[in-house]
Amino acid sequence: MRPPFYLRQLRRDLDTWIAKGLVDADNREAILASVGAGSQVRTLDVILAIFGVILIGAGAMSFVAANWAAMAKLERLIVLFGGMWAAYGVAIWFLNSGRGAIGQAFVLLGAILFGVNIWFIAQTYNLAAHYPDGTLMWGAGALVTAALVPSRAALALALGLGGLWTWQETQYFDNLLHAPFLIYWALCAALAWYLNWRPGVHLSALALLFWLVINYGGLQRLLGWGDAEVLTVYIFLPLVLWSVTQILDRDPNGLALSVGHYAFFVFLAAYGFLQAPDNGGQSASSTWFAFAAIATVASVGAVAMGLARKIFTPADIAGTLFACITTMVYVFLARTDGDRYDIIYLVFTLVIIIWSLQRGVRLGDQFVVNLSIVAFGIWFLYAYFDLFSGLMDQSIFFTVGGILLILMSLFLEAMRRRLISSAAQPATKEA
Amino acid sequence: MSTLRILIVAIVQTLALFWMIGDRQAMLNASRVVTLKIVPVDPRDMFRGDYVILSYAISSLDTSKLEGEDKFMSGDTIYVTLAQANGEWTATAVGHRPIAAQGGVALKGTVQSANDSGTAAQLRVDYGIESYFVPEGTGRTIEVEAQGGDLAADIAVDAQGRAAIKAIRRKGGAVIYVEGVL
Repeated sequence: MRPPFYLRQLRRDLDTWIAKGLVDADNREAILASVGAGSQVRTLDVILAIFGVILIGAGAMSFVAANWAAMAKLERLIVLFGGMWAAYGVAIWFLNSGRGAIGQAFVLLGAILFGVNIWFIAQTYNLAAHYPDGTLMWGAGALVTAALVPSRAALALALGLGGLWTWQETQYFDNLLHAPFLIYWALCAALAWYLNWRPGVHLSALALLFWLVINYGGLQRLLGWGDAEVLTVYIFLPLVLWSVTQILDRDPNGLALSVGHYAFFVFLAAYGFLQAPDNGGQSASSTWFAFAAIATVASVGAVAMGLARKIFTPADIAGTLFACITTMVYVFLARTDGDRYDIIYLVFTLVIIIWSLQRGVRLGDQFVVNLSIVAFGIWFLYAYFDLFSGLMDQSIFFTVGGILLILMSLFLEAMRRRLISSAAQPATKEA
Repeated sequence: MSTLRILIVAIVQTLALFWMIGDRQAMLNASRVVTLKIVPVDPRDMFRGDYVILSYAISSLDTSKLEGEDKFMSGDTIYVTLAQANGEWTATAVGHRPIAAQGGVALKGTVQSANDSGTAAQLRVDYGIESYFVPEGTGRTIEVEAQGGDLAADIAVDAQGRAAIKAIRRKGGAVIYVEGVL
């Protein structure tokens, strides 16, 4: 699975190599297929077709809604089932005519109409039971469509509906922790992988992030931990995952590295946010301490494995250990009076950002470099507002803040370019 | 190949939709039917577009006045045993599992809220029969009649304790709505 920019470049390179006689023209499609490019579909066609079917769907539903009261139950069922079968019928016709993009758009329309039918049938027959089940049923239908046809658009719909389902369960039905979503999510993510669809993998990652955020409270109630203790779960586990994925896949276009990027994003965001919550005066629980100890061993162990394979350096051991220890220390500090330790924590965060930046440059990982620079910019602004807002006249504070912001944007962009260019050099040398 | 696959999708989804209808009809055909008096609710909540909000005497329960268990939390599944006395069905026992009673019917619900006083709890229970879709423009009439305490609902209860509105009737027995397949 390769990102779009790589595939575009490969297509251009292949044409050049074919022109120079380096590659046989007959092998062009086979080479592209081997990296998951497949046949080239014009994006505009797909977008217009999808918008078209959505408009048709909206129009059909408006018609049904406007005439709903006047229809007998049998007429309603004929319209509902007829609409869905018509969409799938048109999809078959277009797909068999070689117009795949429009055919796929009608497959999506069929999956949308399946969901609309669920709600209209629920209304017609007064099914007022647990309504997230209806969302789950719709999502499962979209997932079946995505797997059987196969349809990437239906998979995107299934992931969106999965997010809606877990939102309804956690926000409106007080679920302790909506674990069943993980099974649904795993099926979607596996299908995205199987379909070799990179945006689907990213959508899956975003859906999981969404679940992690909205289940924060559920996780807290389940574990019986304080706010700060629960937040450390979002620091430790991604830290382990970040290192493990970098050991697993050093291919700059590889999927494991993308997963690692999401893990790094969660780690950095959660670490930066750790100073916000407190434990309400409670001491850290023994179960949390056991978790933190195991997670620290796992984090350092993962980096040690990378050190043995010459992927990581002792600086990574030190940085990982620093992140784990300061996380634990801050949980202990937060239970007394978190505000007193703001400056210490600002220093901790700066060290982590610098370490991340250094690691990104050394590994030639542009994402890590860019995100670390963004994190530094946010850190700088936070520090300025936190430390100087009460010390200066308001007009001077904002004026100086504005000037610093402009200077910092110029400085950070220059630094980013220099770091990315130096990060790219080792790869060029290896090539 | 894509033709066959899409046909399978359409058939699977159609069967799923028919299952929804069939399951509901199976509930409505259940032999056990209880008649519950519809009690007035906050008029601001009652009529919402094309459906009315219905409330019953068994929607609010005081566990100190009932047999069975006392401890419930919001979101818990609850079984409310109903028994007929003086022509009315009323709650006699509550539990996390059905409590058998001579001539009684156990209704499955979900605890929406629980105010625990230590030894007993005031429960708000949802049975999935609290809303009813009506033809456009007729909701207001039902609202007025329900506020006057003039309506009752026939509730079909299947073997698992799930409830479905079979019919809505006026005090004298005249049927306003009755559920059917078509």
